[in-house]
Amino acid sequence: MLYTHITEIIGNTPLLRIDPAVHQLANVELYAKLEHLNPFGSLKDRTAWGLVKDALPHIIEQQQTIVEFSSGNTAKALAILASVHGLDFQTITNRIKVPEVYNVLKVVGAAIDTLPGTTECPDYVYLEQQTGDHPDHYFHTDQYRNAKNYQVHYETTGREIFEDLGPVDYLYGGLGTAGSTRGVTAFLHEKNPALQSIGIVAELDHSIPGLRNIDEMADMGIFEKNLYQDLVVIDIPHALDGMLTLIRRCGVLCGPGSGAVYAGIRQHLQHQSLHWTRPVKVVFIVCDRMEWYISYLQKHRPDLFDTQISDAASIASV
Amino acid sequence: MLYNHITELIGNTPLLRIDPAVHQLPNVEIYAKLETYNPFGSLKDRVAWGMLQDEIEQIVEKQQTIIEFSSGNTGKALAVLASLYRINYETITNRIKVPEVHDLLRLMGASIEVLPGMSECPDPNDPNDPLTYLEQKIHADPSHYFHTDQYRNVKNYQTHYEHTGREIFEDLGAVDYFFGALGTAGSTRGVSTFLKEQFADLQTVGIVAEKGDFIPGLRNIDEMSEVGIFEKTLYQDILPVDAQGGVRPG
Repeated sequence: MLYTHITEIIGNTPLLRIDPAVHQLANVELYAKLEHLNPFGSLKDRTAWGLVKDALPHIIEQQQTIVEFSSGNTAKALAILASVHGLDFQTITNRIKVPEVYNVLKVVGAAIDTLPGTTECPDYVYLEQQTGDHPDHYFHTDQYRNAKNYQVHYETTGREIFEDLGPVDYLYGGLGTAGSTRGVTAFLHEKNPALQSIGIVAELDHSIPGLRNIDEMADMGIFEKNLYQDLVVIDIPHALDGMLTLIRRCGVLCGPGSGAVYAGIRQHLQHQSLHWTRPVKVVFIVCDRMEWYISYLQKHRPDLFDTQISDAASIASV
Repeated sequence: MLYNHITELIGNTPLLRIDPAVHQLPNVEIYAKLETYNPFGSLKDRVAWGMLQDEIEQIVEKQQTIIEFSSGNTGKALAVLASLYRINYETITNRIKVPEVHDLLRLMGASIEVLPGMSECPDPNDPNDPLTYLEQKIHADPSHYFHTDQYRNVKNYQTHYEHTGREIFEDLGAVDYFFGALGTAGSTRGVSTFLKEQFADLQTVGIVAEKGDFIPGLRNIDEMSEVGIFEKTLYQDILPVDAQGGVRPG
């Protein structure tokens, strides 16, 4: 297919059926929405483009700097979109814990404003101090409170899943800004009011890139707790087992957040699905790519790297 | 779109027009074939699948180990494919210069055998040559291994002839110039052969690394002469590029 702008390639991602021999859940048809195959490598490509698309002529005319609180995929996508349109991008963060993400942001030309502190939530006061004297100079995409964050997933991601599958019974999503899960859930819920939407969050003190823990979720504006029928809490070891299964058994080269969602599905359904009397359609979102998390894996799973012996045994175990 | 197997996602990559305001070449329409969009991240996904597709059932049945001489993208794609089919993959190399590639191969469960030596390409006259080593290894236990043999396997370029070249032609019609980086030279050979059949005046230009400069995925001109499927007559020109040119914006 011929395209004249890279933004035309955002979205319309594949939906991949996961082999039941891999997931081993009775009465479950499991499908993965492969958002890591977006052009900049994550589901945030849709979000970032959704946040700037309509305002872009104005931003360019005013030569504004795009500014956002982001430690990862949103920053990366915004940085590329800004750069492609000849604009500056600045990210404010205190949670870039993955060195590859920092380096990728530098390569795509982002300015990174690193805040001290341990809170993982956006510091709006700091932003106002920064933009205070020249507010016109900045365009704040405001992903945590901007309705476009989930609207774009309502209009595109959710619709695409429905067009491929029809009514969906269960949707699982990792909760970061919670925009993608909310948007997809809202659309699929309209088509099937019995939809069960399950959010995956990180165990307290377990840093899983892209996911927040349950305490942090309460601070997010877009997060609506009553949207979810259940929340599943996943720790780092299970997230990485899930990631390895998706990589090695399914060829889905995804990051730890997606692995956490897969692990969450297994944990949530393995007992209850035994009692079902019909096949149930389950969808989850693969949020980003594997390649940015090598150092994260080296930290948490050094065993994967410390031997040159063939790995038939470890493949068999995932 | 709904798919039942990740290999169905290999190929049919986008073709992107590069804005003339970026390339600033008068009278030129540049199009980039985005092979990065393949599911395992490179154009070698097509090559790896092309070399295995017809044989995979037999390989699985015999529980063979896939073996290849690769330092990068072919190794990565073969490692994922082997893992998918729950068979072993072993990569033999003496040129993994990018540490990330080594780590990715390990992550996907490949076993890596790094050989010492200076040559970056197969050289049958060198007793320490990796391909010679690889053949000795297979010879010792022939039924145990399936050697994909990307440097000599015609499927390496056939898959690009049948798919990559055809896709470009279907998007654009006749192409005047085709530029490709030369590693195994399989993609360039396959695409160029297809496009030349459609338009005999096609100019094919190969990009190689400047001697002494390392650009991942490219070989330098001396190394090219040792690659079995490299055909010099296919190219109207061969252009060396240094590492700075490889990363400099503009």
